[in-house]
Amino acid sequence: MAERDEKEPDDLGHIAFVAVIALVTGAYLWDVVSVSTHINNIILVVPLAILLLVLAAALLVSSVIARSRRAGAQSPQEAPPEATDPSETATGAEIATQSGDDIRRALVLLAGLGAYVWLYDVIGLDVATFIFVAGGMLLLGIRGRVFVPVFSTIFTVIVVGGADLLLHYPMFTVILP
Amino acid sequence: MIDGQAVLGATAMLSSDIDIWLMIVPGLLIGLTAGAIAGLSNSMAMAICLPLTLYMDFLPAVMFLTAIFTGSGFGGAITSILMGIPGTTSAVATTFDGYPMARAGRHNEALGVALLSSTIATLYGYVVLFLLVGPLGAWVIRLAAAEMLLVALWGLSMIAVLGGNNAIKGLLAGGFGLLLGTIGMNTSGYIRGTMDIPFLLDGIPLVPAMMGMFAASQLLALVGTRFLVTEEENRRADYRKIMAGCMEVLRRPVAHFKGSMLGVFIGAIPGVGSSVGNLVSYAEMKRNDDDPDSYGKGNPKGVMAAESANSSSEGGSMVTMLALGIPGGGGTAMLLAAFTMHNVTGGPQFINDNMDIVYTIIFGNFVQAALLLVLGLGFLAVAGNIVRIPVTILIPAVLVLAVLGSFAITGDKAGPITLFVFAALGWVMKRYDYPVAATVIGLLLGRMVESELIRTWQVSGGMELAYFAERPVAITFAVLLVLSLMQPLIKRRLKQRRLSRAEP
Repeated sequence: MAERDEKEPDDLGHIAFVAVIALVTGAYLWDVVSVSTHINNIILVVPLAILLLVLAAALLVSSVIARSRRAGAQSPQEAPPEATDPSETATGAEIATQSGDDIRRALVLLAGLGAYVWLYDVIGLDVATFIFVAGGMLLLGIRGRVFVPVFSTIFTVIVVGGADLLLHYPMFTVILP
Repeated sequence: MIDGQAVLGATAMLSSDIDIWLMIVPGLLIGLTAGAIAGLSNSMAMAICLPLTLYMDFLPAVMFLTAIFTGSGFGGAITSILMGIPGTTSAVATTFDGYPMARAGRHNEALGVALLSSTIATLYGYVVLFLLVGPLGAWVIRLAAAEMLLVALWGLSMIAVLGGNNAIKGLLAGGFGLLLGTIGMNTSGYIRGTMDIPFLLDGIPLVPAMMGMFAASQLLALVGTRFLVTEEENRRADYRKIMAGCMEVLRRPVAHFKGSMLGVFIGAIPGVGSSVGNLVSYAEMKRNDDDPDSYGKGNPKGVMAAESANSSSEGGSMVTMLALGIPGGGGTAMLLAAFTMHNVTGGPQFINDNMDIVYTIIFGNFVQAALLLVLGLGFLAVAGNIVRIPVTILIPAVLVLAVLGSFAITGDKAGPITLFVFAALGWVMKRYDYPVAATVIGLLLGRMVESELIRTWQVSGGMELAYFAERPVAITFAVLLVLSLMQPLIKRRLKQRRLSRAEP
């Protein structure tokens, strides 16, 4: 039962992911058709987008059916039989290997990566790199009052300093020259 | 069959450019290290190092990346043998007998078998490439737009259908990549899907997108993994026993050759590659052995079968990549991206016009194979420590390297932003078991497929069937495309038939 509870959000996550793919595909299809309906513009995108929408619909339907079947099964005996071949499973919910806690930490790390990417030219590449590496290590469970700041500082000096030497593009730094 | 003039040209190039040689050792060491760290892969190491190749000439850049490819081929065996965790997907079968050997205190012997198997098999793979690339080049140059279109679609469909566990998800992943690959201005001048973002006019920046999909997403997928090894016993290298393992390979040249050739053949099929090659070779070796029951319990022949196939598949995958411009997997997709970064277009025209460069790459890889033996032996002394590097330190550090690498490619925020978006996409795709490689290869082929489709439409007078009826090669690839799309149905039908026969 606990296992099923773990899996339910995965079903929802998969449904949301397929829906996003379908939305992006639909929006792109709309944009292409509004640019021009000349054959040279639509020859690949229109049939491909339609195929993708059909595939997404098939996946959505199978995911929703699988979810409702699981929800309807009151006991393990009533649950649908497990497919033995992974290619025959209706959804990818069974595949997830990261635990809920791992997923939350991965999401925080991803958000941190986003912040790093958007802010490195505002707060300085050196400061942003130090914060991201130190924060990332703490988030992933590395402990040590000395190790984390020392490693992050040495890493930042070597990597940002090295990039500054190698790359010909201007890089905004606050502390490093 | 072999272009003598090009051979001379290749020899001249290799003897006149020291940079080509200087790139081999660091490339091999990076590959060995990346392969030895469980969770990292050859395509990830190549993705991280791709921006560095911007500062190299074309040949040193390709040599550097193929050295990473070669090094990681053996590096993956180290964790498989010492820890029972495949360092890369192509080293899965190595664990079957390699880890039981390590548990029995025979890890040095297993590492010796893996090292010499990998070295000789890499050599075999490139010898096959050397012999085949000339005749293939003469043949593929005659392919017109229709054939190239169908070859690309067949390759992509194979990657999509065979690369994952669910054909619909694979097709969605590959198709979505293909769709994203058409964003920007197409060959006819139409601008689509740019959302008024200037850098998208040239399409999605490929290398940052690949770095995001292969490297950054994999790091996010590793959150929660530590791979710390605490056991100290049996981790020291004993060169006498390693040499005994090497001798084991030399005593079975025919079996090793068979495994290698299987690897070359399977490696040349887009989407299949070394991940499947090592398993097929292992199964074949076991099936033909007098004592199949000894497999899985520490039989060195099992390690030899797996390692010979995964290393020789590199040469096989290069056949498809160089001759057709179709990357069969992550590693060759990275190589093709390096070609693009140096304004070189892989495919029929390239190998026919630049056979000397192709031979230079092949000869350089002969040397890489020999150097792998030397460096691999030295690397084994420190490998026991490398497998203990905690992934928790690597994740933020390598993410920073990926961001800086993507910045190096574009010179502005376009690279890091693309990396971030595709890291998120790749991680979600991995989470729900979508083949990431299919999306990346779709992204790479998007423009080519659209251009060839427009050309085919124009040349065939609006897809007249009479045009295709006169093109047997196009028909062959169309049949292959249909068969690869129907492969899951065929497999299911065969399984049902087998089951119904088994029932009384």
